[in-house]
Amino acid sequence: MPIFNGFLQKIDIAETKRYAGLRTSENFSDKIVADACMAAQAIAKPRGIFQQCCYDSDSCQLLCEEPFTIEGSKIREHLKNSEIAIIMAVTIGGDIEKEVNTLFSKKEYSKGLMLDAAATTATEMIADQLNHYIDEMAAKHGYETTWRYSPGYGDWPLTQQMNLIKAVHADQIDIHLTSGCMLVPQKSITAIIGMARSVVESGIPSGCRNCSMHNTCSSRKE
Amino acid sequence: MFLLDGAMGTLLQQQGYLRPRDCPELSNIEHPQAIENIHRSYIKAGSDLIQTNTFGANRIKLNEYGCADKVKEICRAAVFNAKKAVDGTNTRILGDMGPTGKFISPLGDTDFEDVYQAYYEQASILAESGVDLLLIQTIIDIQEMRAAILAAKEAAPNIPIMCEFSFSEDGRTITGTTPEAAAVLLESLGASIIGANCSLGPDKLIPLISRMSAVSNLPLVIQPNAGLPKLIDGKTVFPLHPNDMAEYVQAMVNSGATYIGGCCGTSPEHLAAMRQALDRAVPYKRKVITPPTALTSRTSIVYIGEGHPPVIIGERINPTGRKILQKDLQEKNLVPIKTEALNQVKAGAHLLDINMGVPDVDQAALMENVVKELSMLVDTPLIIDATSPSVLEKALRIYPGRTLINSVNADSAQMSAIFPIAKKYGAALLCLPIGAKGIPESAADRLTLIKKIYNAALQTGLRHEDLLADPLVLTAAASTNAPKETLQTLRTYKETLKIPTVMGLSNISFGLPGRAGLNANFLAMALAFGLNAPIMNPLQSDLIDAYVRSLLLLGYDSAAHNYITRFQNQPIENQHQLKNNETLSPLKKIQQAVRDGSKEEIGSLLNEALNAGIDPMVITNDGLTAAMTAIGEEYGKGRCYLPQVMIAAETMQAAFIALKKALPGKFNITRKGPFVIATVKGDVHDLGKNIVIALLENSGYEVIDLGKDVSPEKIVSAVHQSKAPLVGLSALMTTTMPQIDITIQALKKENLTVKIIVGGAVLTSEYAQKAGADAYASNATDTVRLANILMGENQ
Repeated sequence: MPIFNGFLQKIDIAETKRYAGLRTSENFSDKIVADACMAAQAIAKPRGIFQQCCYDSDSCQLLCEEPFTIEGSKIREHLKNSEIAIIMAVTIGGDIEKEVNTLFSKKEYSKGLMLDAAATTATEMIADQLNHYIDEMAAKHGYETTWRYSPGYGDWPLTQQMNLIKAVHADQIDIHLTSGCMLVPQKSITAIIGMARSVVESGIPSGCRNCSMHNTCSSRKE
Repeated sequence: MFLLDGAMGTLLQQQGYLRPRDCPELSNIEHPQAIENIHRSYIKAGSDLIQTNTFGANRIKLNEYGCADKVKEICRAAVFNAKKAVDGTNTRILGDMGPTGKFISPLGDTDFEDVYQAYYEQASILAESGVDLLLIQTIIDIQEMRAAILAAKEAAPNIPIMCEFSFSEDGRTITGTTPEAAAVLLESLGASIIGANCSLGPDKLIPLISRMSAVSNLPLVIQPNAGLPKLIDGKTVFPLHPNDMAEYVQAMVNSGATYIGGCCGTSPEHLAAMRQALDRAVPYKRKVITPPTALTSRTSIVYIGEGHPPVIIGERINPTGRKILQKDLQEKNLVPIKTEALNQVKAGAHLLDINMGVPDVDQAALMENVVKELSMLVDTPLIIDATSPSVLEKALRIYPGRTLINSVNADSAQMSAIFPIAKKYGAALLCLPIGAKGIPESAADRLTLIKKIYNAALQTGLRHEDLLADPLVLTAAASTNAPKETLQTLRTYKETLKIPTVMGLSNISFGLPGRAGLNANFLAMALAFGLNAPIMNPLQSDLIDAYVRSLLLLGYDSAAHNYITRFQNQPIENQHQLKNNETLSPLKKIQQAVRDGSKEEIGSLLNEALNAGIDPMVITNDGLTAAMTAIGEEYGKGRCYLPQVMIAAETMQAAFIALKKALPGKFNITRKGPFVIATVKGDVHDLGKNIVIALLENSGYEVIDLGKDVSPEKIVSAVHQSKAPLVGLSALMTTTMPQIDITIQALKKENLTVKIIVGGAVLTSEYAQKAGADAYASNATDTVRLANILMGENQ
């Protein structure tokens, strides 16, 4: 299982604001956000792992060590041209969420909230780095890649986290699942990237419009 | 100018010797004639150098094919095949070494030493078998390149090494290294020829070679792909035909490259066309540059010396005299060190000095660990502040760049211990004018000592651009002439040896009052005398102010951009805010402070209100709570955002503490509740729940927080014991939502009179009603509102 941990030389301040639900920066100190990003950088322990396997788009089977069928019509549509699928998992470790709780219990709410948002940004940035590496490797062989898709997006059931975690050996980077199929540490991502000769994007747009919470989410991109 | 060859694997596939999952290097043993023939076809096309078919013939890569034990057999066979092909020609053989396919820790999970050993083994066998040069190519991570080149130098000290990185379209390797940083590092490590191959077509690769030529005089090599590949009918197809590649040859020559070849997608036909173009090409007269003194990290390069603005070396990562930091390091808690590094970079440090002089620890191991962690965290190059060879060796071996050793003095034993380490790892060296009799007083005598170190260093193979000098600072309190001599020494170094100068500032004010101001003035003067890199505390704004002013006055700040950025506007803004506040009544000011989250001001505003005779309960209700309610309502209407609510809540907390302090024993808020709260079983999300708790506590509720992933039994028992009138349950995902139902049923079964509020991303009011909850809260402020209503019902 290839390991690519990535590194965090910065954490995007604008994204952190967005995750904190601050869609405009008026009347809110940038310093609190910048300090939280820095704190997250110092505490985060980025790790990443990925696994390449063949994908049979006719049967929607992922042919990893223990093959399984992808459930959910949208993810199937997303992977319809893919011959190969890369399963990836990243985390920034559990220390940050402990620190967020400590801050809340010390009644430093805004710091806690911002650190949580910075940690979310950091996790996405580490996922982006691994994603970039996967894209480059695929391009080297003439493949195009789909955008990364995670359980819980569209109608892809969260229960398939179990299959993904196993297939990518996420335990090697200390990611585990709760009985409710949630990733522990919380600041972790699993996703799948399809590799195709030509990625004809399905009708599913990437990003916020694809999400059922689009109309109400305070972190949505405009 | 020399022509290299092109792709090997593609031809083996086309000729049917290689199927998709075969190990390409095994062909050296299984199909030696085919390999020899491909070599011959490149020689016939006009190649001056050919590459052995050993790209993946290292132990780690071969292990993927179960062939880890065949390194020797494969490499020997490969060189034998190449030798047969070049027999009777002038063609030379490059022993090819490609990536291991693994990332070195901490970027990946593979140990640096394992990668080093794999390359050492491969380089030894290739050298023994008779290659003319070693070629390390298609490397995307600087650490792997470092492991390979260190191993190759050790295994085959007399064989020249050609090094090629693989860059992405953004002009960096995938792990962020620029061509300039790569070139400077490779030259310092002793590479003979440097350049780039693979990943990009000639159009994108050529500018990167030009960038390398701007920082190094080493011969340059370029081996582009035949364009960017496409998959057509299941085959990887490269778009550039032989003549297309040939058309780029003159541009490749003009980039400064003298070794030109092809990579993926190129064939003997491509190389034949390129040969013709090369023979016709107008030779390029490359500009000879003055090699810069530069330090690098994985992702950046910092120049020090003439023609470049002075750079700040942050001095804060040094536990000397700092007990808490020492304790953290002894306990291996690196978060404070990381924070210190980030703070200094934010404050303007261009380089960070790392000193691990901690008592009672294995300093070499600690230094290695800190260097590993910091090199991943900041793009600022690091300086290793140590003189112990064992500490230096550990740090330099693992550092993914070119560092500066701080420091070496004129003691022969120290020089002979440190020079070889600097040379081996391509580090620069800071020379101190300290001899057997200590620090000489005069500039002339200091120069004599530095010259001694300088000449001895050159004799052991270090270069002019590897050496920097420190004039050394003695306190102004000790001797009238000491500061003047130090400044004179700076000038003398610059005029005589023309090497960059580095100097720690703070000693100048030792034992004197007003240290910050004196340090700042001394910095300005030292910069004027030619100091290139002050070692200082970038968190002292006096020093940064002096630095920014000096840069402007010394002509390093075009259009006064940095000066204006630092100094404009700040004082005016503060005055404006104060003025705005002054017209408000005390209660309005308190409301405003809560809304703005002005925690620092709230204490004095409360005192102002109390002094004005306003009743504490009025202050609480009409000042604090009114503001909080207003901000909650605004949040509900989408007119302000959660972080603003949170910071207002913090200000409320600060206000309560201040009121208690101002009115000891008299100020008590009546506690409501208790309110039991939990994230349900199987669910680990607790941020939303924590936010709810913050607001409940602010509204006077006593909250019993059961945490996350809490079983129904535990919740029932907590409600029982506390006789709580309210319970809040949170679930974030569809998979854990049913636990809301289960928990509510468990509570009802016990006939508890508790009112239940539920919330969380996936819940809806319909779901809440069906599950039997008393209320559904759509957000945190809503929870407080509902709690108040339900308490009213209960009472």
